[in-house]
Amino acid sequence: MKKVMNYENRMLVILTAVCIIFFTIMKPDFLSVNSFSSIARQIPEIGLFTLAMMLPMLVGGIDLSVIASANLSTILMSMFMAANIEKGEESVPVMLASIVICIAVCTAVGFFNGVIVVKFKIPAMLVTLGMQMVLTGISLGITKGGTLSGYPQSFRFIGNGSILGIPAQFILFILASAVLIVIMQMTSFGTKLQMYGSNQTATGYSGINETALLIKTHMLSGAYVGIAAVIMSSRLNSASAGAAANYLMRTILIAVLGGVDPNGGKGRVSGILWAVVLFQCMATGLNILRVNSYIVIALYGVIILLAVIVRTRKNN
Amino acid sequence: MEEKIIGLKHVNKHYGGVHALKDVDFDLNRGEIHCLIGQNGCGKSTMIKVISGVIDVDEGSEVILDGKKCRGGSARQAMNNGVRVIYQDLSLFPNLTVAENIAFDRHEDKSIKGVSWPQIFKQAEEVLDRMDIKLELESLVEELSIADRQLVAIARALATNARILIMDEPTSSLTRKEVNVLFSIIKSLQEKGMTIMFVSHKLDEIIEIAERITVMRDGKIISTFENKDVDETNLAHMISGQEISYQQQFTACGDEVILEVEGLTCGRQYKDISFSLKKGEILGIIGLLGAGRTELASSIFGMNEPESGRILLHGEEVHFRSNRDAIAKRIAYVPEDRLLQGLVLNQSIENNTIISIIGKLKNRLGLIDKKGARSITRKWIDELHIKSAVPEINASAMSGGNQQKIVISKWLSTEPEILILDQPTNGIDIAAKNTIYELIRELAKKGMSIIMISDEAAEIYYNCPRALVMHKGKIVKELNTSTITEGEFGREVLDE
Repeated sequence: MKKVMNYENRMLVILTAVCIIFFTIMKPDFLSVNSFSSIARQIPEIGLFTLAMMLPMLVGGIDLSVIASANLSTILMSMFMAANIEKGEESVPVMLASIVICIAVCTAVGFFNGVIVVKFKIPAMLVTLGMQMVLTGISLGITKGGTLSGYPQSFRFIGNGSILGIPAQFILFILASAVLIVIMQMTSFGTKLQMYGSNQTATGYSGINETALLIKTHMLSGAYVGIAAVIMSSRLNSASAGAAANYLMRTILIAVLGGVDPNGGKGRVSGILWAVVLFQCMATGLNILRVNSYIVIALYGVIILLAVIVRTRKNN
Repeated sequence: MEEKIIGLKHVNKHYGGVHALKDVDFDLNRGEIHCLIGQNGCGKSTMIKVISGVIDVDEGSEVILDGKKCRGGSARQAMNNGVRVIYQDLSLFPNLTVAENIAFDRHEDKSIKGVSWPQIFKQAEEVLDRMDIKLELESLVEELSIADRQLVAIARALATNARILIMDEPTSSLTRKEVNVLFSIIKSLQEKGMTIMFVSHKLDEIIEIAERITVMRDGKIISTFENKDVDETNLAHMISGQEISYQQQFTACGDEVILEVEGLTCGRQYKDISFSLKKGEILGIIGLLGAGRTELASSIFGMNEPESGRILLHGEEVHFRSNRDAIAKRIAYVPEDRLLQGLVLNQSIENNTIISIIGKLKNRLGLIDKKGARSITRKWIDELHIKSAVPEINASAMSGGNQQKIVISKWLSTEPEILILDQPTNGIDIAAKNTIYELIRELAKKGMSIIMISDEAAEIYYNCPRALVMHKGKIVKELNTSTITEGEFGREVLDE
């Protein structure tokens, strides 16, 4: 019989419980349907971005272009919809086509990131930093710094609607996470990816195709950025070059908190899921307590440092 | 009366589940040349690390330096006491000049502020004068020969006023002539009051240079002897722990030629290599570190593209763009560095076993066939007698010998026709070594063609009917081991 939960995930669950108890004592309002539904609506976006961040981190890299990629793809998606659906009308085929465009753009960005990383042997941090600037520049050029807003009602359902009382984006998130768990645990790609992240030399000697593996990893990451982008844009009912700028560092924070080794190799989808829940409880709680938002940023910094220190100590 | 400069008492050291040093007692006397001898993996390197303070020791162990008890695990303390280690890789800075390398430890001296080039050169020159050797101070270390680099490493240690010099396998990539130069320098250092600990597994060299010899085996100190009390034969027995050492057990190989290499050349790594390999043959390739043997093997395995020459499999020329092409042609390569190149240590034994065939282990849904993976892993654990192995546990939990068997399992599961083993018993205890030799013989009997690369003469002599001697990138000799004695073989190999 396998253990239901490993040590790391248990720690995250305990910390989440401590968080909930603390905030409830400080402010009993915390334990309300309202705050939990707000948590459930925010988790999917940040969670999907973090899963997208986790994949390149597992191979010892990082992706600093996730948010920029999401913004450019939603801008293109929004323009496509505006061009093909009259104001006030609905068209499900066009909507589906624009979602496909959004995810395809992000996957293509991942493809280019992967190709540059593997073909020119440049650290992913630099490649994706460059990519981030390129994409943000293009987005600003298209929008002239403005915001594109107003989606058809059917599209806005993705980020605002509910099915049987469960937020639609939450259902999407669970499905996407389940798919990623299957990919990581049950496909040869997932195993190779984790082996490669743990020891690139030995996997190379074992005959693993590094080029294909890295490009696929970045493309898969891009696809998850795309899904997150669709949800985010739908919830905000807009697209702009500067949306969700503060998400980037949070995704790295949550990934490390969730047990992703910054040197590559270690990391599980389940760890990310628990870490996202913990993070969002904390963020919501601090918000309810009206803690100064600048202090909150500093607090996040402290958390990431602590998480890295604890993880590194454990690994040694 | 000899004065102890370093003493170890009841020293134990565990690495995870491995008991690397077992209740070790050891003395180093002031001004002596003391050799530590033993096979790869017997604990010599761990001893060095303990003495130099690089690693901590277990509770209850005592390390005494200059009569004072010292806490293990303090490299700085050992250095301050004049203990200097020259590791096998020499730990030099290839991109810096000879002078900068020699004077490098000035940067550690807090009383010296800034960088003074005249002083760096002056210090380097002084040290080289003391050693009575000449080196171009401004040449980069990467441009020097291995032998000269070794001298730079010694000079660097002397520049720090070292009193105890520990040399780890200093002769492993030197020719006989270069060894002579090194030995004369060691002797002159001793005359100037230096204490020298010399670590090696080459008997003749040790008998030549050492005053006292300590034999290690499987993490234990067997005994310490005066030079006059031992000879090569009884030392060899003590090192291997076997009264009757190995016997050549050769089986005839087939006539069918599987692999031919013709005039293979790759820049400065190796030149004009030609040989052939028959079905079921165990071919030995022996040479010093840096002789080009590993580079040659990686070319055959498709990981190092040769510049010219041909590789033929079953008479057909092949061009490998990567090792995936070589694996597809049923060539397997067990690399030299098990921990870095062979295994993914923090992944399961199962993942390590199936990694090279994982693309083929698919069920109808395109997912990994977990049952298939498990049964393959179990099959190899049984067949290779990998003790206490469970498919789910990490490879890092296994001992050296069992880890090597996991690497071999990985390659056997690709069903290779040609298996190249590069230093297959490096860092493995004797019992495990023998099981690996047996395994190799079994595989050859079943028709697998094997290339065994090693720098241990005995390993090649007892396992390979035919051996190629590599030196400076060339095959200089082909020896038929069954017609000569082990001693003759050893001399033929070294005689360069």
